[in-house]
Amino acid sequence: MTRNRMRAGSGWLFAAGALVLLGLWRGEHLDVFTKAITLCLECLGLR
Amino acid sequence: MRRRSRRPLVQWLAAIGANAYIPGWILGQIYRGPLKMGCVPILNCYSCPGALFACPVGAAQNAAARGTLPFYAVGVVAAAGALAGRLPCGWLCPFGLFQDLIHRLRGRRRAMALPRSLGWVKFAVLALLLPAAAIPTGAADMGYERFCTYLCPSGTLMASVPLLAVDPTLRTLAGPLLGWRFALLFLVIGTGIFLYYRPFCRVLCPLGAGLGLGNRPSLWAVGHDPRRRTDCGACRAACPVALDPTAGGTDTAECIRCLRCAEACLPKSLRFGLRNRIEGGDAG
Repeated sequence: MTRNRMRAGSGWLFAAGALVLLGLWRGEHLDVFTKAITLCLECLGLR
Repeated sequence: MRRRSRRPLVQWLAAIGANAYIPGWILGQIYRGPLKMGCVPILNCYSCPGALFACPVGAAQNAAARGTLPFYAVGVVAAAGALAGRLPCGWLCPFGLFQDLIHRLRGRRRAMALPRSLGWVKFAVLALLLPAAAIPTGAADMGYERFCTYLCPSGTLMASVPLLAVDPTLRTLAGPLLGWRFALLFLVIGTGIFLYYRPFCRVLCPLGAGLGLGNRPSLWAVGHDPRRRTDCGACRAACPVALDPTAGGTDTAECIRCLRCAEACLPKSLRFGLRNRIEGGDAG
């Protein structure tokens, strides 16, 4: 069972890494940046 | 002799490190440097004046609101979950630290057991997070971050309070929504002191739910060595969320990986580490 979970965890990590790379390739980090440097009125509860 | 836990120190260092933009705290402005491109798997509002990084929950919702899929933010959370499950909840999350601090006001009285059905609510929040953000609203024809707007007490504590305190212009925008958010924050504080340990993490947090999905297969995990097991019950007594670590409790999504069980285990049967090492190859 431990070996199966290690395989599942490794596969999960590989898939997650692929998602991160795909997101970076699509430039999502720039969208995150644009959002994160703007004062978020939703986060403040003002909108 | 039992060693003093390093967890509070790590929690404080993580909370301070993630919110180390000093000018923001003084001037009431948010950090606008390149670190904000990075999502970190903790519930730390990116509108907090000290925040250096982006919140994956907010970033994912923002992508959904614009009609795109948030591969990057989801990938960051999934990677953290695959590595160590909810370890960031137990050791790194600033809002988790806040709940730990308010829970100390209980003194030595033991917290009540949370009804199991409430634990499922956070998965419903997780499932609805992106669809809810994607629903268009008004003339803008875009969605918005509905979890941040209505349900995130971390944003109220870390962003609303410090920014509204120093910016009179923002205070003029305050309305009934802010009242609801403060009511929710006080509900979390009240239940955290009088009823349950970490009520928000266990009932509402979509990030905790996402990381918790990784608890079962995570590469680093809490495992026990059956040869050293004594059934003394110290781990069960130490667990703040009332799980049984010797019966797979640490692999459920309810475990926040605070590792108190491993610290309480005097024969060192329970340990946190790379799963195949602590569980001994195929023996688990």
